[in-house]
Amino acid sequence: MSQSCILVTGASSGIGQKIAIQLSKYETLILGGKNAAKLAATRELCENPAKHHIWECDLENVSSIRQSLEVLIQHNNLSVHGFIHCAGMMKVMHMRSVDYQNALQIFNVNFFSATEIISSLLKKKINDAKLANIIFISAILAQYGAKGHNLYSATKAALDGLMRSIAVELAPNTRVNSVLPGGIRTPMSEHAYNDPVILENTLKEYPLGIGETADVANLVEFLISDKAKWITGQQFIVDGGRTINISNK
Amino acid sequence: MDNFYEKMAELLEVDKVEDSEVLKDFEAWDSLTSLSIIAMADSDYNIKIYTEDLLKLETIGELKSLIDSKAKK
Repeated sequence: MSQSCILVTGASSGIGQKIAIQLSKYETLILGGKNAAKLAATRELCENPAKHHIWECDLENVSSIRQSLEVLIQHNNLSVHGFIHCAGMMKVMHMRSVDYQNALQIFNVNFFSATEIISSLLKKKINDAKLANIIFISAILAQYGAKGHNLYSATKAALDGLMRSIAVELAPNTRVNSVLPGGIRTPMSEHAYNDPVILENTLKEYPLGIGETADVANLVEFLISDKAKWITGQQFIVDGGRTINISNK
Repeated sequence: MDNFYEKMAELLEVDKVEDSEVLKDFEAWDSLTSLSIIAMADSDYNIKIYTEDLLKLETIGELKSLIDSKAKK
């Protein structure tokens, strides 16, 4: 009998790490990321560290994902019932500086990695049709715009477009949803929020202040549970009121 | 740091840049340029620069000195 588990990408830090810690109370996890040492550190923060698996994989290298995941699943006799895609990179640049190479890099990490993983997990001979739940960590930038976030916005919007269509295609076996955070304090954003000028400007825009990783993880915990059994194909904004705020700054 | 001048020229949309040139005088200078410099320092040189550091700078040469000084630490 295979061991049922949830795959969390981007589990080394930030939102992915927090989700892993919270879900580890009652789930067996595959912690995905590119740095095994950091994943091992996340595992130590989880409940019952020994029962969770580490999947070291650089998602930028899309062509290696499928085989690497399949080997992990087969060697450990796992079945994956949930996939939470937190892995993501951010690039801020002028549109005139965008080229195919930097566009491809961010799309590989943020988007194509997810399509490879999902396609693999839906194959009966790999995962025995066990995938019941998919959650993408998208961003409010999937729906709104900001200077310099051209490619990042596009990758998150791509995830949400995929989310809606496969929510229909995979029903009733698999529920698919996206969580769209606003500004959250994580290692990825730490540098920006340590910047007093950026922090001051940001605080003016967030009625509830800057978010914490737990604010996202709590919603993910609900969406992955059976309490959300009639919810699929939706985008959920968690942004401390950022996108509904039209006050004069 | 070999490519610093080339990268700045590309960012500022000119053929080349000199140490004495004033950042804000470039036609292509805008708020996103400073964010791009912060991102470039982080990704290419593994150096953390903050907006308030940049606000104190006038010229290309001063920016280079800032990056050089942080790189040595």
